[in-house]
Amino acid sequence: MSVSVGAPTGRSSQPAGAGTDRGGSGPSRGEPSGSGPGGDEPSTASAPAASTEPHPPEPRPLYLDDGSGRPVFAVLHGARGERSGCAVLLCPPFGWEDMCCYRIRREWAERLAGEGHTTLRIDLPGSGDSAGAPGDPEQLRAWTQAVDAAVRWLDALDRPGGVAAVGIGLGGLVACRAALLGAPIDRLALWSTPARGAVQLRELRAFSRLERARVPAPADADAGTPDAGTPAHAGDDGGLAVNGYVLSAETVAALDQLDLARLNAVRAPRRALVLERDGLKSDGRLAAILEAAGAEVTIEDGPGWSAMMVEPQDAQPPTAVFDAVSRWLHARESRAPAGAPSRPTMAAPRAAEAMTFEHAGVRLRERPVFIDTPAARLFGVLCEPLGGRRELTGLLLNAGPQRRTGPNRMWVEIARRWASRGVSTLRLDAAGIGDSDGDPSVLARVTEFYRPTYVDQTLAALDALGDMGLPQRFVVGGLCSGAYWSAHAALADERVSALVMLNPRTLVFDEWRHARRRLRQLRERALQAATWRKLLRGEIKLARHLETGRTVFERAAGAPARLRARLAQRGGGTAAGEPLRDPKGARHGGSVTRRRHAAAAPRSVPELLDALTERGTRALLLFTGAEVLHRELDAVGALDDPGRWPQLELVLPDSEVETHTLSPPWLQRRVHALVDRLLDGELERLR
Amino acid sequence: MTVSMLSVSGLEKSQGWSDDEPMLDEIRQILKDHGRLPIDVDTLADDADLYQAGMASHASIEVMLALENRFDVEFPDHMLTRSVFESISSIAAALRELRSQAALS
Repeated sequence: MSVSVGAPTGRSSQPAGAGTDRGGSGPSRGEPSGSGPGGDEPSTASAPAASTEPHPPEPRPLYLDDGSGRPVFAVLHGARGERSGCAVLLCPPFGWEDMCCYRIRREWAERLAGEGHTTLRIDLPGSGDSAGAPGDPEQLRAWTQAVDAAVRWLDALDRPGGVAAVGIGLGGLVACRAALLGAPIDRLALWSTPARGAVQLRELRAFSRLERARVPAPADADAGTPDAGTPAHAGDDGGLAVNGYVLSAETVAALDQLDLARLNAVRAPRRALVLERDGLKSDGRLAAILEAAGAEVTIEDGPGWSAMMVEPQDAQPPTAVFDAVSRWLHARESRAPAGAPSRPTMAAPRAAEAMTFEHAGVRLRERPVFIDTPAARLFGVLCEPLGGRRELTGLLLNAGPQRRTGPNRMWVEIARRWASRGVSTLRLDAAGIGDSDGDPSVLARVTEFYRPTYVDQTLAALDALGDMGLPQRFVVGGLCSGAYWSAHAALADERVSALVMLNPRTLVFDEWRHARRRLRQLRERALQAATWRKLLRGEIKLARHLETGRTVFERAAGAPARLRARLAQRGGGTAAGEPLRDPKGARHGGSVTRRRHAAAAPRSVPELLDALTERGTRALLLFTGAEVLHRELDAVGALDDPGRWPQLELVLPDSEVETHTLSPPWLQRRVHALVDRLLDGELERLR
Repeated sequence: MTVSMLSVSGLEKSQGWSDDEPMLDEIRQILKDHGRLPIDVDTLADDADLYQAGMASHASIEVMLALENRFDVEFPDHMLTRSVFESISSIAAALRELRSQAALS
């Protein structure tokens, strides 16, 4: 395994006159490197020693700072092969849609780079891995400045081809605003973008209302942490919570007032592509505005929007739109340009390998981290305090297929809050998710999430953090499969002293257990006449059910071997015949690093909790709403005696409404408070 | 409240809105195209709960936009609720209400 941090030297991609920060300057310049209670320097000081890579991997993460104080997280995909004209900036949609199509934008950027376009992806301020929070003032202005800064940086990097911006949904609205206000965008492609912010808001409002009606806030919804940044009743203050993602009241008002037709346009792209959305007509005013400003406008179909805006593991790349944009980028202009495109007079923004910012009065630094594992090169973002550091390190794992920012961007909020309390925290993408390498298509099968490789990747991340000089006492957490990976990493590695398990769908997985669950569902469906009608019409995916059947068959065929293995375990060995190590001996003696256990895998959730209790692991196990694992455990009374696990905080649902990804703001606040309480308890143990 | 309708009487003639059946068929087709339902829309009764059948909130926004696009109407804010989009019947009722409001205006 190797670890690389940031982008040390030798890159040709730095625009002239825009010096890359190499010594903690620029966005991370001038930061004091104070000592914490433990007397340690911040780990960034020693990070280069952990790097074994002379150059950062591609795609290359970076932070853009135009001096506005809100550095923008970006990922650069260098053009491969012969350069074919312009560079491309991909501008994301908002919130849930941003989460759904993040990996697809990565794929799109790779494709464009392969076609010879240097391509940059950004997270808008207050979203993703960029600085800021949804409640920051003047968000619309910050978004527009971010697009402008990214375009100017690309323009300086990739002269003379010019820059094309591709905006999706709200990202298109922002890109168009930036273009008309002077950003040097030569070509502009807009997909499902209206000409007025009010039209975009109407969709978001409707989405918000429907979700809020589905999960009404309880009477005591105001309970929670004050700094979580999410209003308990989003909407009451004029803001919006859209399936977990927040727009402040001020941002809502600014979008409501935004009308591209009313902008005092100082510049226009030479060419524009307006893409419709799954057969729905585009906003006719948008094409008219761009034409009036002087752009040559093309309107095309834009199929594939709906198929892209679903949970990331099911999201389908809109290949027809990829094709349409590529054709348009390569097409010759039908009329000669009026002259060379005007170039910006402002200096390009700085690009840096890390960003520093203030959170809760504490200076923090965030930087990308790559971890090479046998499965894939993993990507994560490490948030560290620049001042006092505690002897504890956090690791946050994906919520199912959702990228490292976590559900509703909660992992970003948690990481920054924990870092402000002195706990450096890495939010990590597992293989195939977010910006980590690996095949995302395998995750369409839910059983894939529970392969041992993901626990191995988690353990590799712990080792990498240790190798970087960070404290080797960990609090690890995740939601859904991330909770499962966390729990099994804690069982395997004694350095994990605290554990966050949010809405796990299972904690002890085997194919048989999963197949039985699927069979139950199928049995219920089989009683419905509609299922048989669908089957006869060929509308049921038999392959998935045959997989269930195969698992059941294989399970039955393998029963004798499992019996032998269990007998071997009772005899004091593991299923593989290895001797068990004494957990206490491993914790209190031996090497500081990699205290791994070859313990027998627990066969039930109570057994797993017993093992964690014996280990002294502090844990939070939370179920909200209708969670299948909670229903199963409740049915057999498995959690009836929580006193059996004194270091476990068990939080059970008071509702049957599905809230798996914690989208209601009031629920987010509660979870923030719970995970902070776990952290506080762990920090107390360190005293 | 904003209600925008184009030539409702013309729509009635050309699309047979005076008869509910074509409207229900059109709604079903839109649900097939945009509702992302895990089950066959044709197997659902007119009053079947679409959310129970697996339609997500985000998909119902796509359905809303497609209905507006197809029927040339705009759902006013007070109609952007779960109850309006919870069944084929409730969608049809909302479209009828929009039609009658437009006819009065």
